[in-house]
Amino acid sequence: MSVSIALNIAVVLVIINISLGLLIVVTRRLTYLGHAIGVVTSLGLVMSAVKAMFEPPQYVIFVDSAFAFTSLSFRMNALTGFFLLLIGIVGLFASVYGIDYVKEYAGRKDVSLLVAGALVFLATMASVVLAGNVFTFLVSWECMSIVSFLLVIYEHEQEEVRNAGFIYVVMTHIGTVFLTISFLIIARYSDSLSFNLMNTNHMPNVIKTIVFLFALIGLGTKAGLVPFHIWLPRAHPVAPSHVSALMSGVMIKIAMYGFLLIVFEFLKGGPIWWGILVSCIGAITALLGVLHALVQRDQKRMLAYSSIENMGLIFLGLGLSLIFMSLHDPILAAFSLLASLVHAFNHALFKSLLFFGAGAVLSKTHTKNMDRLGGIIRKMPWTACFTLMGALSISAMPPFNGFIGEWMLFQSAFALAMSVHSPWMGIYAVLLVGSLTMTGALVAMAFVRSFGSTFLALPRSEYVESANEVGMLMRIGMAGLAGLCLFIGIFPARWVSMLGNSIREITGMSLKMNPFQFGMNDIARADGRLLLIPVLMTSILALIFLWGILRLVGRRTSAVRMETWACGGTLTPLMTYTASGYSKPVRVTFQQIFRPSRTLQRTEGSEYFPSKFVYFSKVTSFAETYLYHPIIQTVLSMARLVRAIQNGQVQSYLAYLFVTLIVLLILVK
Amino acid sequence: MLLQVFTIVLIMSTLALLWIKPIGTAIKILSVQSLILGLMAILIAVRTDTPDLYIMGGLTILMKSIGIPWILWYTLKKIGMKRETEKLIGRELSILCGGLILAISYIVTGKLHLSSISLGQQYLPISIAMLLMGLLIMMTHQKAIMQGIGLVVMENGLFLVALVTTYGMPFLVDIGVFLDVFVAVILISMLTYRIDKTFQSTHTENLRRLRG
Repeated sequence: MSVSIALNIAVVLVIINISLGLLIVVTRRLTYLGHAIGVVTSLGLVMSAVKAMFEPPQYVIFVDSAFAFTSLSFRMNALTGFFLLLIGIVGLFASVYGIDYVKEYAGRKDVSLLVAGALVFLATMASVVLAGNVFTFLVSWECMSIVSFLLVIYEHEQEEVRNAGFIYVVMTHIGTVFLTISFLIIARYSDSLSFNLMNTNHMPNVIKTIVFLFALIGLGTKAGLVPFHIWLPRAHPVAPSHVSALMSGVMIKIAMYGFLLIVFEFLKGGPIWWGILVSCIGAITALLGVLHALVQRDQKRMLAYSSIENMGLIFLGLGLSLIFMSLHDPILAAFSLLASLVHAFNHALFKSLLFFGAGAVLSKTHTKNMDRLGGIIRKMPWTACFTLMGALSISAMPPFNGFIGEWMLFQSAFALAMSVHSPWMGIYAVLLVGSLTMTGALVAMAFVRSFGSTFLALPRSEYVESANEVGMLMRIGMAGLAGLCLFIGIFPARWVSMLGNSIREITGMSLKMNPFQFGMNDIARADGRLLLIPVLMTSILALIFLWGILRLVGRRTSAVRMETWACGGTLTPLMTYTASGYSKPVRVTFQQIFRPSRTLQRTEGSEYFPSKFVYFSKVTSFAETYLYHPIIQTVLSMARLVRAIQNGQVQSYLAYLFVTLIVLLILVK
Repeated sequence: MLLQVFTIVLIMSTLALLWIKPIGTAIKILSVQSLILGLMAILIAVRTDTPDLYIMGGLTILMKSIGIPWILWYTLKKIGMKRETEKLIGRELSILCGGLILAISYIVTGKLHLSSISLGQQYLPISIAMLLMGLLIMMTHQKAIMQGIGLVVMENGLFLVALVTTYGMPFLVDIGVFLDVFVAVILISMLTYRIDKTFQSTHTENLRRLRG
């Protein structure tokens, strides 16, 4: 099989998905065929993607049309292959997971629409990545946005969902406007719409900067970078869980692909402040994302904020790569880019896994509020195990995959700190390292909190009572991703070297020739047998050691199982640490950002012997209060001014016309 | 000579539309106006020997003096024959406006240098005035059906402009404009009927509620 066949197969799969999706929407049945095709096409995408990643020469399909502008074109290269692989793998497990998960909606919603939506969503994402010219890219991008919007408002009976959908569709369209402009400017200067012929050599620097900024705004909106992130924590949690996984795991990575395409492939980097800007936004996004994740009570919303945080890390890596490019250090540039790609892939795996876990809990308990959960580990042991694996991965604990990406990001930042460019750059790099460290620590805390309050301790509400383990297919979906997380974490070298072609596609640097200098030799072996042997061995040895000590100690003492001592009182579930309680220190420490407000109201009983309280607590979103509200107010007040002309009366509109006509007739000589 | 008489009838009928009250009469006037216009087209066709204009004249008579009035008449019958027009400004003021428009169109067209061979010099002001008066009708009337009539008057004015300056527009353009007006009138009739059904009146004021 050559790359041309791989591309043809991928395009055919996209077409199959879309047409089957439409067929399901029309007929409202064939749901099982939809599930089956979803699994099969995802597998096909994975296979063609792997093919593309190993065979560097690229291939293009061109579908001519009446106008040059509207012709379709698809292309496949190593970079495309990487993103296609990401779509395929997450899509595969999401399809398997979805077969059981959609049963949750059976009876109260039309399940066939959800199945069709997920199919078309997968296909449009693949089509964005495969696009070979501006028209195909933008059309697929817009389809992807619209289909995901429709999936977000799947449960549109709820007010919250409709609001989320509205904000999503507005933000995504604003983003698309900027993206379209930057694409069209590039196409104008290179006299071609085809990606392979894009050429920005004759572009003035001012125009390049405009293109870069527009691309950053347009794609940053999709990627959820601060301050364009406000739609993400609303829209991602309200979608059905396997769709949330696709959106958080894959769709926001498509924005990363767009960024690589415009800034790295077309513009080929730029002045150093571009990189500083991108990495600075990335660092702020990561910090704000994880801080907000820490104070959420809604499980899926917490995960959505964590996605923002991870996109921040990925863009931090891209920013570092841009800095290295402008410092003419191609090896380090390629390495930071590699770090970003690796982290993007890892994030797709563990974030989808965590969304699957949250969805499993949601489908059995029907609540997303972590304060109401607790003790589910005894009811759903498998789900708990897989979620724990996901949580360990995202907290960058070896031997799981999250460690690799974050470690490489740290290395890139350290490399920048040690490069002798200027002392200011060194200070900036140290600040980046600091923000990475703080993010890492807070992420670990966020997931200790999330896992602990959901799965450990005692059930805090009656929601948990009826919970039981989820179906086999949902468990398979989670197990697959968890297995991949562990596998990549243990054998990262093979995986990282697979990305070599993709990196060469963007930077022209071959990392194989220069296998990981700057002290990475001890961890990254060029022969690709085992990365991380020391770390892995140490952790295994430590585990064995601990186990041995426990055995030794356990043999000498006799264990008596008793209830936990509660100072003589009876133990109630309400005494356990809640998610809100656990994150209290963070709320207090960062109160400048959160501006938390609390009110305690007595509803029953006298002043001295109250019997019932109502407690509200709220944190504000930084960007919304200080950026979006003023903008929206300005726009609205200006609209009110314009509205004076718009009085809804047909006659007055005609009068405007009449007066204009007369004035023009008199004025024109 | 005959052409001059025709144009006088045209402008008088347009002014009459500004004056009269019953909608039924307005439709009849419109029908007569379109008939005159069609006859004018045929007359010019005979003089200049252009075959296209025969067809256009025939079509004008067929559609504008029979088809469109019939549709409007039918709508009027459905919503009740005894409807009168309702205007934002009084009849006297609208006639005055009509006179003002006529003056403006003479002033405006006086600035143009038209070739003396074409009929433009004499008849262009009249046609511009018809166009603007059609717009005035649409502007001042509150009933949806009168807006339809105003539209047809505007189109008549436009047709006259084309007729007297260049002996008609290219055939395709004319046919296109015809179709547009025809569809617009059908739409307005349907809209009138619907508004009447819903609000028991054909006031376009009701459309104000559609404002966001």
